[in-house]
Amino acid sequence: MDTIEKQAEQLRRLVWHSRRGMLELDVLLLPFTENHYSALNETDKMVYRRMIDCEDQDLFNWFLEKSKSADSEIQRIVELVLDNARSH
Amino acid sequence: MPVVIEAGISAPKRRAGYLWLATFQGMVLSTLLSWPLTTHLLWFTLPFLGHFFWSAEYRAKRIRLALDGVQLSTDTAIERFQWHGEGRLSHAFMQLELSQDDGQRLTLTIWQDSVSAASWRALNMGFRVMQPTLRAAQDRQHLPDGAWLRLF
Repeated sequence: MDTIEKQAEQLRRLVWHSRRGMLELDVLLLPFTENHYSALNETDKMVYRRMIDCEDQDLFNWFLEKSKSADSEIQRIVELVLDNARSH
Repeated sequence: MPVVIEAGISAPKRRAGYLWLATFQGMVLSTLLSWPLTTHLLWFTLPFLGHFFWSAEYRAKRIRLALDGVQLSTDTAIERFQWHGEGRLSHAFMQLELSQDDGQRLTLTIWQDSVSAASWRALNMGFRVMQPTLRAAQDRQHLPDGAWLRLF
């Protein structure tokens, strides 16, 4: 399997994992994964995948800015996702 | 790319039921406590008043919310509005203060029971995510030149 195929498969998996139990999160995560994930650098991609593995309730609180992630890298990605959702 | 939320809006289901229930309770109570016909008539007018009040509301069939751009589809037309983050959100309804370029203003109320559970949750998230940004942008617009810089 070549690199492009691997990347495509990784993206498909990530899109699948972005479909959460909480619809509120789907609204933010799916468009970001589909439209912006590929443009991230390798470090951010890794952090994004780490964020996707977090619990729904934590993600919900972070995205609603009720609390902040203790992991500053994840918090940065949360803010990146929010910035994208709020940009024209 | 902003978050885009689309939802179909139907006529609220529960409000009429609640209103009739309140009317019925009022009529029963007024019957038990006193017999004046006028009291009965007053209670009886309540659902009709409610009906006329709600009939006057703007009836959108579909909403498309994309940051400050709100597109409302009715039976006959598609109208575009701007949302500057003004409005309120409660567990039962969401109210958006919308405006158009020609100065026309509209207060759109979306009741929870007029949209599907999934749409309600998506609209909720959209409201909460977009409102702070839009309000901040609106506040900056209304401050005199450079005043927002002095805030920091």
